[in-house]
Amino acid sequence: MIDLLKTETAKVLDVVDEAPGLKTFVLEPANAMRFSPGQFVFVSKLGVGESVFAISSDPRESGKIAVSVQALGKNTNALHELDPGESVGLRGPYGNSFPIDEWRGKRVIVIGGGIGLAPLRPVIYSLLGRKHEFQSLSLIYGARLPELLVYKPELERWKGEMDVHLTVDEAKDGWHGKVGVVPKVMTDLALSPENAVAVICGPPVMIRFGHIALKDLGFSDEQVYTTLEMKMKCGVGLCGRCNVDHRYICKDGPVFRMDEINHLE
Amino acid sequence: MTWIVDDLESLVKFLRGKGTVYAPVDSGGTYFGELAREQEPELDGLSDVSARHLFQPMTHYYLKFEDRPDATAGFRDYDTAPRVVLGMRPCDVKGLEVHDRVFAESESYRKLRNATAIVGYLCPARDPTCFCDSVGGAPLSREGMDVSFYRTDDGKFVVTAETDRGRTLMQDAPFASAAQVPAPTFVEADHPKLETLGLAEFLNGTEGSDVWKDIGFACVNCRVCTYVCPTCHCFTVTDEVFATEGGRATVWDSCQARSFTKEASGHNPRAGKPERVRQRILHKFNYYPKVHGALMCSGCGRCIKGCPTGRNIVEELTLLRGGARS
Ligand SMILES: Cc1cc2nc3c(=O)[nH]c(=O)nc-3n(C[C@H](O)[C@H](O)[C@H](O)COP(=O)(O)OP(=O)(O)OC[C@H]3O[C@@H](n4cnc5c(N)ncnc54)[C@H](O)[C@@H]3O)c2cc1C
Ligand code: SF4
Ligand code: FES
Repeated sequence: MIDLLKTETAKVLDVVDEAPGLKTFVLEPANAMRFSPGQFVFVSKLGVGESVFAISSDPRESGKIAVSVQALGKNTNALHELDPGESVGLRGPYGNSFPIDEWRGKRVIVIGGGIGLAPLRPVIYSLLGRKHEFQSLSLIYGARLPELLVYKPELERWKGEMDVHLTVDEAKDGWHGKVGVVPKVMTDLALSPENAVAVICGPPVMIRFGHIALKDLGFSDEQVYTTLEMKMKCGVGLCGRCNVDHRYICKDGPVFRMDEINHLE
Repeated sequence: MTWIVDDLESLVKFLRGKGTVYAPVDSGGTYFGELAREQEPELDGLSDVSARHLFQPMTHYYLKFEDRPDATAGFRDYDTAPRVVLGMRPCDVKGLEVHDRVFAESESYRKLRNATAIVGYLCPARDPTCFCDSVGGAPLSREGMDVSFYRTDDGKFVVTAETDRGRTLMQDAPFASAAQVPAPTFVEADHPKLETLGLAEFLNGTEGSDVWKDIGFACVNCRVCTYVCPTCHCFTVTDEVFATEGGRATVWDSCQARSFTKEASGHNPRAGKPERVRQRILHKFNYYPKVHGALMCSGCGRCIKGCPTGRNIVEELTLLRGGARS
């Protein structure tokens, strides 16, 4: 199976500090890479290791992709040392993607928590690029603290292009947005399930309580999409570790409609 | 085409001309190793480990560098020089069907597989842990073998080419061809029996069963069960650096290891033994069947023989069936 794990190289074009411990790397793959929102890649340093990241850039941009990396362990800390101009290993894109075409004519509600906005950013770029095809677009995004909100310039820009609600668990001086966890904000906003789809991505607790909030608001599981995360090593359904039931998250996912997975919780 | 060969040595000598010969060899335990000059294959009893490593190397550095890490270090494919694997039993050959299905899209795997002729040995006797016939195999099955052979009562060997590759391999065999040969014999023994009718379907929805706690209790996470198995194929990908070289390798891994699914955040969806033993058993008897329409077990019984705490997958499946939904 080793031929399916071959890596290409990519050049680091830019490094953006997003939040404490979180950097976005803009990469220029040696071989152009096309991807769909929701897909992921493996980024590596030879001799250190490979790690999997959601692609967080605009799928319409050609010649470059971005990943947003939270420093947590061996690979992610090593990646944080990278400077523009250096080269990394890259393979992918892998996994399925959000079925944005199926959402045409609907009210699309994007819900994110913390770094969970990474796989959602390409979704938002795509939605905004064809805005007239949807009845309405909204974003509800929260983090524990104001400084942990990612993609701040984009968040500001999106405020003028869609309905944006930002929230933090704990406010600090200078914070003018909402205070409270994302599921609470969803409930306060009394989101209507009428002709809507919700896309929710974030830490497991946020997804769990967000899903409950959506149910209480009258959303059926067929209206809710999410991504699942499991430790991954191969990304191509072979190494045997990322399954939930008989599905490999890396191949059959990471995007699922809630009705496909809710019996597993 | 069938031949009578007087002794094993002659067969081995002939096969050496066709490629590197691997066979069960004794080194304290029996495993499939490269047969050294003058070395005799150990055909008595089932080898302690399967031939899996010949089709999925335990460790293979597919990216390697010397001196200095370099992201463009060259790709190293498997060594695909011609090989002959002698003495695989029907259960091990059947186990390979799993690798064939799972790694079907891999060119590297296909090349390795195609470079290998399988000269399988029909079982003379049952080991007390063999249950191949419960899971679709048989001690005298020639399925998947390029060449089959068995020992006759008078100590000779009956060798038959079963596939085109086998016929090519045996083309210039210097042995007496035989029209009439004695049928293979098989000595039975008491053995585990598994009822597989409806088993995969029965296991649907058993994830929450309390029986997994009972099943997991004895396990000491040694992973032997997964390393001796001919159908297990899970691996990890790891980067290692030594004094003067390093690289990225695939290495056998095991779902019975705690680290298998442990994420950087510390979260582990299979943190406990019940979840891990469940993963192994359901992968073999429920998840894999759902995807591939076949069981992921060839009944070799090595996991039963090898477990230091005496766990027995046949008894456990029987227990599940009796208790999971009662
Ligand atoms: C589909 C998917 C998308 C992801 N997207 C992002 C993202 O956009 N940004 C981000 O910061 N993180 C993301 N992650 C998590 C990220 O992959 C891990 O945090 C990272 O691999 C940790 O590697 P490490 O070497 O620093 O940690 P260590 O704990 O040292 O990791 C050891 C090994 O386990 C693997 N591993 C550990 N945790 C995970 C994990 N949660 N998921 C997958 N593999 C893991 C890594 O391959 C690594 O080789 C994503 C994970 C998945 C499955
Ligand atoms: S061989 Fe036995 S003790 Fe070891 S991991 Fe397997 S079941 Fe557990
Ligand atoms: S990451 Fe290897 S099977 Fe999904």
